[in-house]
Amino acid sequence: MPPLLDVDHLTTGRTSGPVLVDGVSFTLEAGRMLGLVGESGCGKSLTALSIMGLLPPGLERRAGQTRILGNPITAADRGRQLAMVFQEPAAALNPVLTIGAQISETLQVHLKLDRRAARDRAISLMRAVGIADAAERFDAWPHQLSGGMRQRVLIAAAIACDPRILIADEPTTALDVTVQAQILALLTELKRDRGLAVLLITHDLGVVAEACDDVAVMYAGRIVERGPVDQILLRPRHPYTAALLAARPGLSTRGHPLEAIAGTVPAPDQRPHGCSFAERCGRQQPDCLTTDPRGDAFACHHPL
Amino acid sequence: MSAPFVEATNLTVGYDSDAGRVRAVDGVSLTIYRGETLGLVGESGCGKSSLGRALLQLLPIESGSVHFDGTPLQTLSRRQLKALRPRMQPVFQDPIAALDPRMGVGDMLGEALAVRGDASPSRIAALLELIGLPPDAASRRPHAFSAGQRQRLCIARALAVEPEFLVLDEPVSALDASVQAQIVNLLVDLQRTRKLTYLFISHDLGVVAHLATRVAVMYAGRIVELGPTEAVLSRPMHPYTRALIASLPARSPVNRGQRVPLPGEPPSPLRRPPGCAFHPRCPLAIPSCRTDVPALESVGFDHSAACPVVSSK
Repeated sequence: MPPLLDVDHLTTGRTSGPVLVDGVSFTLEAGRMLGLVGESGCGKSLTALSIMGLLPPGLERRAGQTRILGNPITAADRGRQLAMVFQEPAAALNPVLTIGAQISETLQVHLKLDRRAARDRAISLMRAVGIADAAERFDAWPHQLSGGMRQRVLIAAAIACDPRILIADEPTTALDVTVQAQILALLTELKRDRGLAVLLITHDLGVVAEACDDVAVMYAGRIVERGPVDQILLRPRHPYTAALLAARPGLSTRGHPLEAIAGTVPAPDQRPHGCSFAERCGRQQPDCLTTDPRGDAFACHHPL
Repeated sequence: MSAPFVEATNLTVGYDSDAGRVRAVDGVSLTIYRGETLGLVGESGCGKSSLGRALLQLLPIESGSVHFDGTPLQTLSRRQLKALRPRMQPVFQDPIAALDPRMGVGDMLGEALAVRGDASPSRIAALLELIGLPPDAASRRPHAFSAGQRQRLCIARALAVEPEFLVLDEPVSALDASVQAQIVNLLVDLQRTRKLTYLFISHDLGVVAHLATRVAVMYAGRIVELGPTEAVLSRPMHPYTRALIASLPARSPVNRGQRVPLPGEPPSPLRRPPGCAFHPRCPLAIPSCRTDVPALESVGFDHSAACPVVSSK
């Protein structure tokens, strides 16, 4: 059986400009959470927008396939099979519509429910994502809700049509740590109880360790390492993954300098030949500067 | 421990917002000792940034006092305060907003160096070297630099006036992990070589765990726990500190799935609950928590918590 979500050599770039997502491939199955992790500008959000068909003007998909159960993703899949939540819940909600209206509108449009039925279904969805007093909150305005509650509303709207796949782009980054834990617990519950496949985009390896089953690490537009979370975070093979893990501060690093990664990420139009990480890498050899490293599990000529 | 260097006593800071009067800092007493890094942690709206700004007299104080190296700041004239300012400097989170885009780096640093007299090109070059940028950086404007380099420039500008006390307000929060570690290392080195005292404000317990001497935990305008970093983070006493640490995602997948999410969210500064502001979310709350404001009481060596339930045990 073909994978639920198959992203196959996806390549996205600026129209007549540099490539930003460079041959990204991964698969995602029902009931699994895949963390797509990397630093800003690595292409992780653009990967999500490409899959959703939501690329902003000036960006275009150059090559690659995205399929659900073997069939190319169509406009009709988006919102039905495939839904997305974003980092800033305040920006993603319409300020002049009540939250109930925003959830039930999706139901009326996609599932052709009448107003009454859409309202009932919206209230049960609000309960399912942990909004207390859902019937009363149905008529609340976005500004009356806290950041965490707004993110719950967006998750309710995203799962309204029972999608198979949820793409969550930094869904907890704007939230306080106690609220972040609540939203991660909610996503885990939806994955387990509804068999939802979740693509979680994050810069935070802690979030990956906590909530994801699998992880793909992106650097400079490419996936450099991927696999089960336990394997990648406990026994990384790619030096970049290892360096990200080693740079994390905590009680255990007190009194020692942090293992910082020298230099900065190369700009998309200045990516070097060979491995993009080579110039920052402690394991660099001559071939790193000339030959592109390839590999499904890790893309490195001299892995750990 | 050395003598008190910065001391807040019963400090209250408020401001007017569209929605009414906000009491951002509510009766905080806090001592920062010379040479230490005091980590100030808490969630958004807890008042940690307002407290930092009030210590520097960048926000008006409603009541209470701040002493800097023995001098009561609120009694100083504007001129006296201006003369004292070089000794205490802020560094803010957003290095893009904090730099004037039209001003060249050399002019910017020269302007700050002139406060102490010598703004020669060699002093500018020495300052750039100190924070790890090449001398030719002086001829460029801020937009030519990456986020991490801009934060280095903000630190350079703060150091130009030879301060003794820095309020670092989320200085590495906007930076990517690989760059964050570079700036953290720079701050630790500078503190040692220049004998600086830091108030390090952050929502990130990992960074604070790495570099703070002591930690103060703020919730809803008050300090709820204060003590040596290792004690507070490995043996937290206040129910809020415990919940905060229990909410942190696992560092390793080995420890995953042990989070116990705390219900509810931090209260809006406009609508803080009476008594202990944490009581509506607190698993240990007793009836008096709804009415009585708890004071910080000792729960261990140099370690205190504002909770009658844990301090009576």
